[in-house]
Amino acid sequence: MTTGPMEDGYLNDIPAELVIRAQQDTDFAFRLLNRDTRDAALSEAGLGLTGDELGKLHEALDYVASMSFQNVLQALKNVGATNMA
Amino acid sequence: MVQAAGTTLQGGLVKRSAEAAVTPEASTRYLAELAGVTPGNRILDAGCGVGGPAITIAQAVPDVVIDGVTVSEVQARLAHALIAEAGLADSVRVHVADFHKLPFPGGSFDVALYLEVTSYASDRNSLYQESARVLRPGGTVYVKEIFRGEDPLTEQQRLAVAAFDELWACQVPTLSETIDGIRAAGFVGVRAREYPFVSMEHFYESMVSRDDGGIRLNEFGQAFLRILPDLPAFFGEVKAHRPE
Repeated sequence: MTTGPMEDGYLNDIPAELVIRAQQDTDFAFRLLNRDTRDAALSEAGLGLTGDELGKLHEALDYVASMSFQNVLQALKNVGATNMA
Repeated sequence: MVQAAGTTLQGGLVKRSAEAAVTPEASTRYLAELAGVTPGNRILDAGCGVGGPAITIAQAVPDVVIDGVTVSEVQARLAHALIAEAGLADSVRVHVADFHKLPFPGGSFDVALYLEVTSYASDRNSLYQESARVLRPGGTVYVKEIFRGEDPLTEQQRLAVAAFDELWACQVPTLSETIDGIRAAGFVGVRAREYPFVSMEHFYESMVSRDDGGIRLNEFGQAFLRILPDLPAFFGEVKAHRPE
């Protein structure tokens, strides 16, 4: 698992709308976690992010994708809980 | 699964503590300790797969002799190669046989291990009776298993268990029916519990493939993730002794 400055911060860079949809739609979640399919998924979600926000989102999703899969599933739950609180 | 877990074909790796790092080998050594394996023991590994756990135990505990049993000729061939590679042909043997009808005389073993295999038994009561037959008086039967929740289950849970059974071509037992089966076979001193610390990281990892772009859910992952949220299951152990 990757460690470093992203370890705790990635939670804040993934918009709640994205997390909610990812939790409801596994296929969508996995499209987000691969760069080959991510842009289409983000476009479909229509978030209207700034360039800076988009950069941070890519970084956060890359970080999640680098985790063990068990932690990926846990992260999705954590992010959901955090952003929906 | 073989790729993800090496030669230990198990879904859960048991840990001593939450913080403990875990490998298939460390889990097997801990399980052997929990089962009470001691130097010089003759051990049955019923449903031995490709022999990973038997090899690990033979490397860790001096002077043990282990007989593994699998119904799969393919697994047995792989096991023979791995045992030879490990230089353990004198202490680990693998037989192609049905674990309901073991090819060993009565009283042959000190310990009988069933490591995530009882769900594949067609008749678990006869499985434990056969275990009692091949153990010496005072010998130990040790079952590590994924157990399903006790009845009554919700409809969603019942469907998830049925899907799990279909996916793995097994029939996952409850803890209580396992205890009952072991008692019915004449074992005494039955102790059972859910393992407090189990890692499934390697199992989860088998659900995805990874490439430069990130991760992709594979076919197994797609099937299993549909079941997982409603699956009432846990890893646990049952240990008992044949009367002296």
